[in-house]
Amino acid sequence: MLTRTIALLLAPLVAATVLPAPVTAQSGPLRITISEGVIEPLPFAVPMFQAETGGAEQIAADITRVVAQDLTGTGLFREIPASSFISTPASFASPVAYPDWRAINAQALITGAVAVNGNQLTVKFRLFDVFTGAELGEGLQFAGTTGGWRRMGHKVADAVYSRITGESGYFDSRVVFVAESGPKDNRARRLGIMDYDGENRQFLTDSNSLVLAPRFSPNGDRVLYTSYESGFPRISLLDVASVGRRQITTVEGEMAFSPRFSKDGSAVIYSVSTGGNTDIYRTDLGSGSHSRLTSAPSIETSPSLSPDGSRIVFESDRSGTQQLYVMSASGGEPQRISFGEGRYGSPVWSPRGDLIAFTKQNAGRFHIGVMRTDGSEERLLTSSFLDESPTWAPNGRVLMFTRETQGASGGPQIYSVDISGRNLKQVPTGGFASDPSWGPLQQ
Amino acid sequence: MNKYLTVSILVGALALSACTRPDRFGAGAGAGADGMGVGAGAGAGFDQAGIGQSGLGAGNPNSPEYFQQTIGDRVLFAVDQSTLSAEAMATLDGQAQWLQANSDYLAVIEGHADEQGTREYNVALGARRANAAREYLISRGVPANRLRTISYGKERPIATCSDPSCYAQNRRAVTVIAAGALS
Amino acid sequence: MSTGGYISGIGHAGLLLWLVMGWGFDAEPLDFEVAPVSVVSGEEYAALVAATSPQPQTEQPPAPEAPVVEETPPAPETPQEPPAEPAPPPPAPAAPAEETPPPPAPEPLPEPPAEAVEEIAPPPAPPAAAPPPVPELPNISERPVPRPAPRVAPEAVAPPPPDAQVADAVREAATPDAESAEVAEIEEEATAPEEATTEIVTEAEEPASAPETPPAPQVAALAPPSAPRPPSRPARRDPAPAPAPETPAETQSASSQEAEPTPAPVDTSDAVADALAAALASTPAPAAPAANPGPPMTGAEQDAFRVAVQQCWNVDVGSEAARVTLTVAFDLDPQGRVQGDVRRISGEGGSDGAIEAAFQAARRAILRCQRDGYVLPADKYEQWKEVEMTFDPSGMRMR
Repeated sequence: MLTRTIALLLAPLVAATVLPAPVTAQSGPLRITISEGVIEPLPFAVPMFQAETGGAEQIAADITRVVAQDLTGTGLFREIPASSFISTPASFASPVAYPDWRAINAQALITGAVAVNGNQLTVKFRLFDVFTGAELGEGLQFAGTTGGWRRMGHKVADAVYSRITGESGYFDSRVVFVAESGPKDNRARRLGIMDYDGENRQFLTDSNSLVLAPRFSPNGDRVLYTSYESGFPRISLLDVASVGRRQITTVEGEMAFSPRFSKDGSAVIYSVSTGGNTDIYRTDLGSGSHSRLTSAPSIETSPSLSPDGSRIVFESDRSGTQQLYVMSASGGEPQRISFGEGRYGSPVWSPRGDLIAFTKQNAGRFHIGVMRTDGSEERLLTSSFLDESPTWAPNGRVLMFTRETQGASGGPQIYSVDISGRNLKQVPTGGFASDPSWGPLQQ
Repeated sequence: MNKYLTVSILVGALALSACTRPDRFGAGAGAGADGMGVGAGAGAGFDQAGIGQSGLGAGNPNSPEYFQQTIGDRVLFAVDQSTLSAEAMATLDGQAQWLQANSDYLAVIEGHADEQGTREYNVALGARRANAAREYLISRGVPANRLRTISYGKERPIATCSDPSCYAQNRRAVTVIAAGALS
Repeated sequence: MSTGGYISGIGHAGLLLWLVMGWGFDAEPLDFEVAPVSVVSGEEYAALVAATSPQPQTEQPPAPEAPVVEETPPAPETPQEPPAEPAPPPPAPAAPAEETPPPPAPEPLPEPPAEAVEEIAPPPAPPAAAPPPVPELPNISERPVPRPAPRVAPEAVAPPPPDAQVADAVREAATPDAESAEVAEIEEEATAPEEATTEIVTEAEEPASAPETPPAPQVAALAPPSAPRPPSRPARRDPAPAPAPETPAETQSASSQEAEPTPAPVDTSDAVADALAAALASTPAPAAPAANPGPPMTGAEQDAFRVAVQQCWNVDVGSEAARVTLTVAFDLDPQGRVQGDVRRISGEGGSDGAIEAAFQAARRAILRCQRDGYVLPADKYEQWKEVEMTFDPSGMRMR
């Protein structure tokens, strides 16, 4: 599809090349270099999607809202209110009145239509580049059930996002997290799951035992987490579809925690504490075979695999304070990558592979930051009393993390921030929530 | 028989913990997930073994209450540290004596951290603190097989303010006496 | 003339304009891709959870009502995600087909965009002053620390005067130019440049103990002297940035923009118009094309052109496209308007998708900021009728 899009876009180019404007011999083209631009949300217009069947008006309006909210929620787009529209398309097939949209400075125009038959729902849309006067990509249609109307909106927004930014989207994704309630010294915790925007929240476990730091499997079908259900911290594996769960048999040790899936989801990387020493291990979920990846007498925990599965970044206090290290996925001598002031923890490798997000603690403040995988170009994105546990959006563009407020009445909430440091905002969770793990884009 | 006793003791320990913090293990301790090695249905019965129902008061030097209140069931640590202070050692000396005098009891040492740290690191740090206390008790003659450790990281603070006075109370290792003889 | 006649006149004029400008842009029939999506409702999911959650049982009792999938080939969805690897639930009524849901065959576009002309006659009269798009702001209310302005531009811009509307770039107040449909059609309000800072300020870089209320005056001090900066786009000289502020402007732009009354008073537009006139006076308006190449363009003239485009070049600094250096070419007519399409000459530094996104952004910048034509010295038309423009974001992207 991309190829076709490019071909379409290049068609005029070819024409222009074949019929070159008369060139004056003595002067070549004027050459200008633009090295500074602006950083601002791109204005778009999304007239309410057409209801193509009777009674589809409400769902059409709702889906249109989801599309608009997804896009504006990135901070990269700005919705032009319908009250500014000079005209609106009479039908999905109507020609686009580009001048009307240029006049209100809409740079992108999204049109769509919705049809409902029983519980079957179809949503189709088109995206137009207003100033070029051309459609961007092709019309796309999604079919499903009415119960999934939000996902349909997310899918439309993902497609729009992808066509404009050249990167995949992240709207049709879910987040598993720890829902918290009760007083600070007796807090109940349970696993929750929600859409990336905080909608459709559900619980996956009861709150009878402590749970920590869940992690989605690479394809989003399972969740690993630390559970105190047995009385001691152990690693549990939960099947999202059936909500069934089982405990993973780890190596001998009093405490096992900090579990993560391997790249293909077939193994678990985790920490075990024995005799006060914490190291990182790997257990194959199929065969149950274990291997030990670190063996220092210090704390080694919070592992995260690179997206190609070849390396692991983790935290260790072998130097005397918590710092970040990278080693081969099979163990071996690690290289320290964090050298700034303060302590570094909970590293997470980005799905793009180019960055590592982390928690930094320095001078009484906590920060979420990113650095390149060799530790260079460290950049702090947030600052608060207590920020921790970053997780990446499936496209590596946004981070979610836990922000806890101080004091007896304080508690954790989930926030998100663009990796440029912009667009910091709270994700609605209906109460205290922590330790988000952002799942993949759904199929 | 021995095996059964061990399991009973363990479950008793859990039940006891559940008494001090009712929500802590809850249904999970008894019903459990598979692979936990805990006898199903055992949990409820052992609630009776808890210290609350034993009728022993803090005045009895052989009672867990005495251990908790008079000897002192906890030691505190400096920021990001797990080394024992002189004061902590003195407390642990008392604990060791009591445990040796009351050899029917087991102990679970809980390690905790203050909120000024990342979650998983604090679990590891709490484990280190609990182990420091355990090692010291062993060095004072308490059999290793009577001592288990667990870390709650920063998840179970007892002081909820966000200033150094509360943090100091939360950086702790607590020796929880578990019933063995009473059952 | 009666009001009705007036409206009718405008309506017809609008229709005519639409016919002239809008005709020929209609979409050609394109293929549709169809991607099935199915879902389980919250209630169904809750039931599913309830069936297993309260009593932590050893095995998952696969709730019989689990798969709620209808005959529609169920793409994985809410709880009915891809089939569990470890223990696939017992044969459910409809086995979730994960990878290849038999999609309804790609349908061609339903209705061809036939003669739908009349259906979309322009509305009677465009609102005299369309409410401007309100910039999207981080929707955090409880934030104790002021946020940077939502817009980051090469130069800091003071918050707009309360009565000016926010626009993407300075827009000349109602230029009497009959040729330009967009501008002529709408009575433009005077607009002020949207408040901007000169760099991204992350939360971590802001002073930790920032005052509760954004100190607006601070920004004015950092911005160029003239508070409501005159729109100097056409005749920009070297845009020597005002002394780079050490502490970037941090004004919460929300407050200033939310407070704005809608109608734009005459004063501002006069001021803008005056400034514009002054600015225009310094540069000869485009005239008839010169026959010979003429003298070379001065650095100032090139800078003015560069500044005109960079105002519309929107860089998404967190994107892969922000690593792409791209060169495009285009032709200008004697009025400074782009003729034909903007062509991609070269692009490097990213994936095809990133280069394509960078190209689109560059093309948008060029097309959008031309407005009625770039202001260039008419006697040097031969020098600028062809342009090769390189967009290099290396100085803008994240460190």
